[in-house]
Amino acid sequence: MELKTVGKSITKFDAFEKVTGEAVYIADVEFPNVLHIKVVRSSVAHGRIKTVFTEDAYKTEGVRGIITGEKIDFLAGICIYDQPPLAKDRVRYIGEPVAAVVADTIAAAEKAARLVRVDYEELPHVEDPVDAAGEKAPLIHEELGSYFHLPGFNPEPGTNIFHHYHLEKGDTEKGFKNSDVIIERTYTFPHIAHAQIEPHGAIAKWSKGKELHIYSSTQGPFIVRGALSRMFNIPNNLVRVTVPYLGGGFGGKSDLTIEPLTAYAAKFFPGRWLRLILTREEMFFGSLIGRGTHSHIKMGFTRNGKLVAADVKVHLAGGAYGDYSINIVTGTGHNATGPYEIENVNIDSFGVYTNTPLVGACRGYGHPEAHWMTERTMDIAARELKTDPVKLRLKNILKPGSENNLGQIIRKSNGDLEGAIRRAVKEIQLDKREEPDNPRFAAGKSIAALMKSPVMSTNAGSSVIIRANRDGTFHLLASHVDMGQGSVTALSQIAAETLGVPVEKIHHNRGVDTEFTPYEWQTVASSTTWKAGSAVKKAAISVLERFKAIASEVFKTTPDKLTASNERIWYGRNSISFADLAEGYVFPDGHAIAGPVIGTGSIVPQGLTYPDRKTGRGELAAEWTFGCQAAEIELDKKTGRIRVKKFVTVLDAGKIINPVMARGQVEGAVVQGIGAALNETLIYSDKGRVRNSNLTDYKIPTPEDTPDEIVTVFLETPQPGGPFGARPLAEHGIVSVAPAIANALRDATGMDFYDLPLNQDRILKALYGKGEEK
Amino acid sequence: MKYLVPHSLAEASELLLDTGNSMLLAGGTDLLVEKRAGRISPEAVIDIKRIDNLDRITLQENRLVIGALATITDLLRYKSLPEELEALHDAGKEFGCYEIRNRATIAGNLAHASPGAEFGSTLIALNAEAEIFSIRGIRNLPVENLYIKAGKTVLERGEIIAKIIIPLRNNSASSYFRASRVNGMDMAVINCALQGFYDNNKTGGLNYRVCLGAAASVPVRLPEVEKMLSRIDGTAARSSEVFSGIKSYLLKTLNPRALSLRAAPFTKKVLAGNLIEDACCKVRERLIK
Repeated sequence: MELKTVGKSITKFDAFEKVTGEAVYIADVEFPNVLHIKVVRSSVAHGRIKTVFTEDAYKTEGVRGIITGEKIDFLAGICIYDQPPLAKDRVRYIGEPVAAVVADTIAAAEKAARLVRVDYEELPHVEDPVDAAGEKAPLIHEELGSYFHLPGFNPEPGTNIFHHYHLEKGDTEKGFKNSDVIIERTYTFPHIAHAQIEPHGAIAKWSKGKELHIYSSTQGPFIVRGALSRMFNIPNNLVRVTVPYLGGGFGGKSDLTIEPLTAYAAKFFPGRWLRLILTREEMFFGSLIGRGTHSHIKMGFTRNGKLVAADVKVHLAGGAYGDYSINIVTGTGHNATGPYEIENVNIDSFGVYTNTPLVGACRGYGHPEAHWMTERTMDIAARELKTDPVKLRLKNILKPGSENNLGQIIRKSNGDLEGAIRRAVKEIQLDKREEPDNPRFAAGKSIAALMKSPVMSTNAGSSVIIRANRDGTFHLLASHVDMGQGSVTALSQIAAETLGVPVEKIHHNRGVDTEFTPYEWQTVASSTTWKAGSAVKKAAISVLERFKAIASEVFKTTPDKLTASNERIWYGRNSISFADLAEGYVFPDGHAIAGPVIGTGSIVPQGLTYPDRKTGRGELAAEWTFGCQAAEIELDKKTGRIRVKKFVTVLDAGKIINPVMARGQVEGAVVQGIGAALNETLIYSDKGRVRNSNLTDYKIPTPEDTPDEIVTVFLETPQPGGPFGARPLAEHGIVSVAPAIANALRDATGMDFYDLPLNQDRILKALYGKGEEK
Repeated sequence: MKYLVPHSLAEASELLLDTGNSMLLAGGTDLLVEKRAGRISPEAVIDIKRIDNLDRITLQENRLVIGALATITDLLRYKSLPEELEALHDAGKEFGCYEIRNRATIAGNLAHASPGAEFGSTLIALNAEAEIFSIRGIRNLPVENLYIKAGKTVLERGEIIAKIIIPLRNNSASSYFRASRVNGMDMAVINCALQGFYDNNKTGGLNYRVCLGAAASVPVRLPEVEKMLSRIDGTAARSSEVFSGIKSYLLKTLNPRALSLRAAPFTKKVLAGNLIEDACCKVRERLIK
């Protein structure tokens, strides 16, 4: 069947309001008599709070209250409940909220916040995850053993390890014994920031002591609803979460961020809206940061290049509270060896408390960390084995019939990894060498393969509602958050295609309100088009079924005799328009049947399970997306700067619903990945303070830093069960950017790098240092 | 905080003297950043933007005069910029972003005394002077003598940089290079401005003035490097010998601060040598073309 809407590059529905400035973001939301919050944050990385002096601050004109954490009797969290919304008697990182100053104006709140003085008894602090997991490390959570956690997680009380994910397959001891070449390396990926354009914000109000309404810049309104409902012991249906337009998330606005604090403070001022908008600086330590891994990998190959054993240890510096990164630990773990079939695997992935800001989801979710080590190591192994890195990969990739680390059997419909690698090689012209004319430059090319699964709860459901209107238009209501990725448009395309109507006839809600729009787990894991899209398709089909049921009464036949096309229901040559069926069909004499038509669709990922307690295996991944990236770079040896001349991404994402938007997702991810590969890192002082909490010294790429050429190719092996054959696509473009660039740098210079970013300090030291500056 | 709007330099100078903790506002691109970061909290801001004729750039017989309110964009759009002052254009093009260039003034860039300021090293290499106004009198000061340390100049209370005077020099050329972390808007990791000139009769070899920014707490001239550069005679072998001599000299002598967020000291030292080489080659190219 020819598709009319799906597969077309329809302009984003929300482009107009975003370009014109009409779109309302959290900071634009205004209420009468709003009170403003300024957070007083810990100035020590680890310590006991002795006294909070608020007298001077209270004297500031306009101050209404100063809230501290001493009376808090609950812990916030989703997977593990380990964090009070305000520090109780202990601070665990610089930037942790210690008090919330509430005032009539933000200026008064800021002024008073500067006057709050906190005395601490300082404790030893630790930032490095390997140190933090060691026996000598200061214990950051003595109470770890008493924290509630969901099944599938494995905290180790008495240590700083809040989750240990262990995976084993085969017998690694035997595997390494049978190996002719063993490569062992250590890699690090530093803490980075999401640098969303829009800072986090929340505005909350309590009514009657038991009803809470919160506006929030969140990717997960129903996650926020569930968590606040539990924390404050109020029913789900009395917590209302409203999300206006969202200005970029990248995972940093998923799960919980500033909502528990805002809601807790608002409880002291019933009937009034309390507003907290973070500053740009607070974005670096007052919400969530990303990555922060130290990884050790050992890979064993036979002489002819068969990868037979892998042993991996990953330590993730999760920050002072573990709830936000606990699933990344599992995700990094089972993806740790990349898109390869290995008979014998042993993986230990540790989520470790550190006295740093909190690590949360960050575009790629464990996969960039994993591929940074695996795809570098594959290149190194190819050299040791004196074979071609492309051939070595092709020999070991997961293909139909392969068993992955989790024990899942890969099917042809999971996608064409071999095709993706071959295409990337072709696009980058890997066999063609061009040496720069000027000897100050060194040029190189390389590839890095990738795979990604959506890491999600086993019951990560989606539901949508479609309402038919009497003029033949439709409302599509869903609670995924369109933060720029274009899901409002993509899901409308799926609805239009299924209903057989022009896409202009679909209106999709902008923003989300848990009071009106149906349940969605949260907008993460590149899963909306695939997962919520499946629910949209179901809902549209249920609308058509309802139309047919009503029409069958009119035609005095059974629904199975009817067909739908051209916005009408047909019975032979007779037909009734969708419009006439939408809100109760009216016969010529005026009597009406049926009522307004509503279609619904609900789904939950099929067959996901918790990992097996002993082996860590199980149905942890609902789907897989495979691909390959390739970089062509030029190093200026005088400046130590890398220029990415060309960057290629080939992904098998199944049916592409909207090609331009899909390409936009990949290109954005590539550029963000280049930022992390070349420059981005949070810099800590020896006291544990983030020193570069601003965009002056946390350098993200600008348009002038993008590659000269970005090539994005989609292979489209259809995904059974995905809407029109679509599978997850979005974050994938970031997964192997760093290893592709580092492999190309090795090709250009013969230098191997294991730590990110590949900035001037690292490169010039390698080029000119010769040990004198160690 | 008070906001004061003088209409003459004299009035501005008096306001500076009368108000204890006050600061001048021109483009505001440094002042507002510092204020927001809580590093300054002036009692009064004295906005000098309403003072007439301060934004002029004029070419006089032997000199280019840049008024205190001339912005980077004004400089970049100035059509009569003498060829030998091309370093000014190089520096302007690297400066901030379009929006910042439209606001920021060249004099403000000097007065803020940031070690890596584009126009600190550039104006020193070009042997520029600042004309400093005060109701107590006017004095001229070489830009080279303006700095005490990062963020601090020798300007006294009531003193305002009214003009920057750049002497024109026959048979000379200049260039400005900087290293940065990204190509788009960034601060200099280190920068280098360089002037090459013949003596008046063009009899002797080429002489140089070299100044580095962000290598120390103030822009620094490098007399030793200037001497070494003057030994270049146009042959490739000699040049490479001189440049490698300069690079080892800089590795030994430069002492950038250890805790810079932009680069490690070793990085800065390596970059300094490489930038001087690039800037010198550019100057020779411009002079000999």
